[in-house]
This record gives sequence, C-alpha cells and structure tokens, in this order.
Amino acid sequence: MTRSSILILMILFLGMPAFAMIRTLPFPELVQKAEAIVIASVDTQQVVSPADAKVPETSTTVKIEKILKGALEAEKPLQFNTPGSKGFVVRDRPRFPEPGERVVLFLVKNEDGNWRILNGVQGLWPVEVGSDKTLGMGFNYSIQQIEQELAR
Amino acid sequence: MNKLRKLSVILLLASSLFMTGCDATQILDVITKVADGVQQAMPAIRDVVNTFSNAFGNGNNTNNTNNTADNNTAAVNNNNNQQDNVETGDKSQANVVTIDPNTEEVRDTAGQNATGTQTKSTELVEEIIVGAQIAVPYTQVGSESTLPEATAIKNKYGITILDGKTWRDKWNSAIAGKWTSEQLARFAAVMEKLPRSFRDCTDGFSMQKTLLNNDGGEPSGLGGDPIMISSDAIDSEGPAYMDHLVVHEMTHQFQANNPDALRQWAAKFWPNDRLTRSSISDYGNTDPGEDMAECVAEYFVNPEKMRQHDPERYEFIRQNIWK
Repeated sequence: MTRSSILILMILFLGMPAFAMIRTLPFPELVQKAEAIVIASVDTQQVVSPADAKVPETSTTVKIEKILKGALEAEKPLQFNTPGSKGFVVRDRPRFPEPGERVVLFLVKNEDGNWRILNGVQGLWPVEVGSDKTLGMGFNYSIQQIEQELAR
Repeated sequence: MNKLRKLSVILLLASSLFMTGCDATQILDVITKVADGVQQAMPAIRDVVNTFSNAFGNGNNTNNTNNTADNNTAAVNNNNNQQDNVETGDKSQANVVTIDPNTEEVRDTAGQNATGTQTKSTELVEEIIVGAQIAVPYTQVGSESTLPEATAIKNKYGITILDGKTWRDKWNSAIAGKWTSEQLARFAAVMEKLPRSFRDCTDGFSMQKTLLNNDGGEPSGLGGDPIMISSDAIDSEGPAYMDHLVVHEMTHQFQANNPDALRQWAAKFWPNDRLTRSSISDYGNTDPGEDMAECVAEYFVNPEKMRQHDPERYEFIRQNIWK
C-alpha cells in the first residue's frame, strides 16, 4: 500500500506547473485576429481523461446562439477539449462555466480545420447569468463594443 | 486526538529512558518541559498526522465527516500538495503549508482564520491555492546557471537560478534558454527591492527561451516551483517587462505560502467569486490569484498608478504583502 502510494505520488509529481502569465492582446487586435467570434451556451461537459491523468482533460460542447464574426454553421455545436476540470484549475487556460451558462468565444482555425480558442483565457469571456455583462478578461468590455469594433 | 495522546506518551517514555540516574526533581522538570513542548506543538503535530493520514488514504482524518464527490476531488488535490511537499525536500517553504479542504475554515464557510480575520473562502480560491503549490524537480526543467551573478543571487537571496531545458508534456512545452549577465543583474536589482518575507517565498527561477501552450498560446511565465520565464517574452516586451513578470510570478509563490492572504483578498475583492471592480489589468480580471499577482506587480513597478487605480487594493498590499 505504502509503496504503491509513493509510486503514484512520484508519477503525479511529473506534472508541470499550472500557473502562467500570458501576453494580453489589445482589444482591437483580439477582435481582428479572431477568425470567428460567437456567443454560445455551454451544452455538455465531461471529463474525458483517465482517472490517473496528471492533468484532467474536459470536453465541452457549446451551442452557438449568435455569430458576431466569421463563417460558421450556427446549428452545428462546437466542441473543445481543455486541460483541467471542476476541482483542478489550470491557469490561463479557457475554463468553461456550467452547462446552461453563456460565453463569448474568440476563435481561430487549427491546421486540421477545427476551431480553437484564441490566446487561452483571453479568448473565452463568460457572460453573467441573467444579463449580457461579460466577465473574465472581458470585464471592462461588452458585446456591444465587440460589434462596434467589427463595424470599423 | 488518540494519536496525539499516544505520541505524547511515547515522547514521555522516550525521554524517561534517557534520564536513568537522575533524581526525581530532574525527571519531573524534564517531563514538564516535554509536556509543555508537546502542548505547544499540538497544531503542527496534528497537521503532520493529517498529512500522512491523507497521503496514505487510511481515512483517519477526524475532520472528514462529509464524503461527497466534491470533497473527494479536493482530497486528490490535497494529496498532490503533500506529494509536492515531500518531493521538494527542504528547499521550499511550501513544505510547511498543508491544506485540509474539509475544515470549516476553508470550505465555503465563514469563520475566523489564523489571523483572526473573517474570511469566506470558496472552492475556486482553494483550487488556486493548491495550484500555487505545484512543484517539479529542478533537474527536470533546468540546470543551475554557472554565471557568477547566479551564484551571488543564490548566496544572497537563497534563490536557485536555472538555465531551462527543453521539455514537453501534454499541455505545455518549453525550449531551452539561458540567463544572461544583464538579465541577472536586473533580476538581482529587483530582489534587492523586495521585502524579505515576500522574496523568501520563492526558491527557484528558470529561464526558458520559449514557453508554449499546446493550443497555440505563448505564456510569458509559468508559475510554481521553480518559476519559469520566457526570454522571448522579455525580448519582445522590453527589459522592464521582466520586473513585472518576475514579481507577478513571485506573488503566486507568496500565495502558496500565505493562503490566508489570498483568502482575505478574494473575500474583499471577489465576494462569492464575483469581481466587484476591475483589477489593474484585463488579465487580473480572470481570477483572484491573477488579480493579486497583477496588482502586486504594478505596486512594485508603478506604485502611484496602483494607488490611483484602487486605493483599497493598494492599502491591502501595503499592509498584508509588502511588509
């Protein structure tokens, strides 16, 4: 028991630091660099990593409510895999709120054609429940400001 | 408690073994001193007992009365923390920080903390504190710099300076980098200006050329022990950016060693995990840990700007962190 516990601890120890600090894109650059910007609601969330994974991985699907920029199929849900889970925060990585809650997503396309979130935590703005107030790195901005920036 | 009592008896018996040939007064004197010592050490002993109980999963933690899935998750994090403490040996002050997520003080419960201040901690804040305590063996990510400035920093401030290795895991990767003499001179100047209690929370700094997230992001720094910073980011943003980056990441180490300070910060500026007014930067608006790190970095680099932006946050830093 003791030996196996120590072994597990040693394996866990190989995980890399979970803190970080990103270079923040100025707001106009964030809007400009994003190939797509959508307002979406979180549909499903599921931890998809093995139980003994160093860092858990969560798969989240979102339903698009409104497309602010880009060519996407609104009826097709988007799916993202992100490090961390409820109970295991991985800093600077996008962290989706609970199912039913809304987010603004700034997206770019991967080489494989799938969408990914632009610049980590900066590219996912949670939206306050019951209002359109954007939170996270969008705290000082609004959906209206995104639309104004796009109109320029 | 039974364990503590047993431990006290063992200590008393052990001490009596060394006292053969002494007179009764001497024996009583020693027993009194040992008893006093055990009483004073009770909180620390209790932490040690809980630490080992949790680490080896024997379920003897008397605080653990709630076996919900949520608490099980937190217990995994708690074990991670203990494992970090074991592996880092004597080089990290985080070794002495233990978190029992089941205690009333830290689990969504208002109460008196160690400093006697009312705090209300949330799951997010506790996750941030546990995350701050993540450590890796230094040899896994770097090798000690041989520059004389690095030796001087280690001797004067106890901070190990590492030239980063190339590494990759599932979510992040780094390209090897080296400190320059100029960077180390600037780093030493920053260390000189920091309060000792803040500086002493950090044990190691590794310089990588590049840090990458697997989703395309390029972090300037990765916190933890050792702290890793990116020379690409410093080159791109300018040398003054290094000061901000260094103090920002060191604040996370301060949080790891002073979890109550973060709990108080969060209770004041993020009640129920909801930001009441903007941090000093957009990045600081992501969570209470980054909010504090950004504000402390600004307090160091541009204190007047910090004071004007938010006198309350400024005052909190002055009174609770910059001492």
